[in-house]
Amino acid sequence: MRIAFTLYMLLFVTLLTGCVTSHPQNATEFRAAVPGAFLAKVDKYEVTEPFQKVASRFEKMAPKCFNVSIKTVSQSTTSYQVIVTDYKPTVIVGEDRAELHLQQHHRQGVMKITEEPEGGYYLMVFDAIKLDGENTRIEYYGPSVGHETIIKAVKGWASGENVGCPDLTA
Amino acid sequence: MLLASGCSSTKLYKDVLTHNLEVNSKTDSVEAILDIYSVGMQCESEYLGTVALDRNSIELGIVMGKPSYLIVGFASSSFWSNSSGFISYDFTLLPREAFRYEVDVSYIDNIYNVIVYEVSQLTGGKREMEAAELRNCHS
Repeated sequence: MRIAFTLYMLLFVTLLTGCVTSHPQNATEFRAAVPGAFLAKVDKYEVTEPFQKVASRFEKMAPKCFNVSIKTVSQSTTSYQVIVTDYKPTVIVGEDRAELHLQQHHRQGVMKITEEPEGGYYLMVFDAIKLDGENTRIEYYGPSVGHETIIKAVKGWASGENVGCPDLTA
Repeated sequence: MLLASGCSSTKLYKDVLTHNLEVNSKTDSVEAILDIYSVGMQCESEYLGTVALDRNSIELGIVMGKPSYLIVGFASSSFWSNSSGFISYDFTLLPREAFRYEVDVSYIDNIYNVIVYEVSQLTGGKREMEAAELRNCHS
């Protein structure tokens, strides 16, 4: 499972870059690259939660959950692979819009294929946009396959249901 | 499970103090543990022991007036994928006189959370502790 996951991640990075000559260096470039990339998607939905609550959960939970390093070990009779991944969250909150950027840097076990932005390759971006006093729109940019636990966790932060951290080893 | 916590010399925590810490846990597919360390003046930590969070509620005592470094760990394993995982959340707690502490631990559907509350023994007032209060001395 771990090997499959790692191969998938490389594929996602590769497809996102097209000819593998460059990789999005910031969230704006990432948002622009996702719609045309294979195995990537944009997902938009609304939650019945006031924008301020959503933004404050982004601010509280992102550092709590994503300032982590994850070590995965894959072992079979013929191979042994160790991958260490550092995650980096960034939350930007404005009056009507909050952004959550999640980057990942493979410290060990994965070869770097293009120039990596400071903090790591962009893995996903969530935008929370104020609609009215009670509703908020969420826009997700990122992989269309895998990472369901992260997506589910952030959806929980937006909706207020089962608020917690995704188990990044799951 | 205990080996998965990364501590090769795991021992049971000797709970000899007045109970001032209550850990309420709710997990669906993992084994949860609590590692307890004392923290010295120079930020050095000493491993005191591990408590298995195998009941809904566990009460124990930690030293008053001195910081304790606590690690809540969740260990999972899957026979079908021949994989195992361990993820943890750590924090430092400085227990005060006239207060007790509650820690709500959950792991449901691959989503985990650890929330620490301080409860006044005089008024019964309960408040969630902020991340800044729970940082360890290396943060």
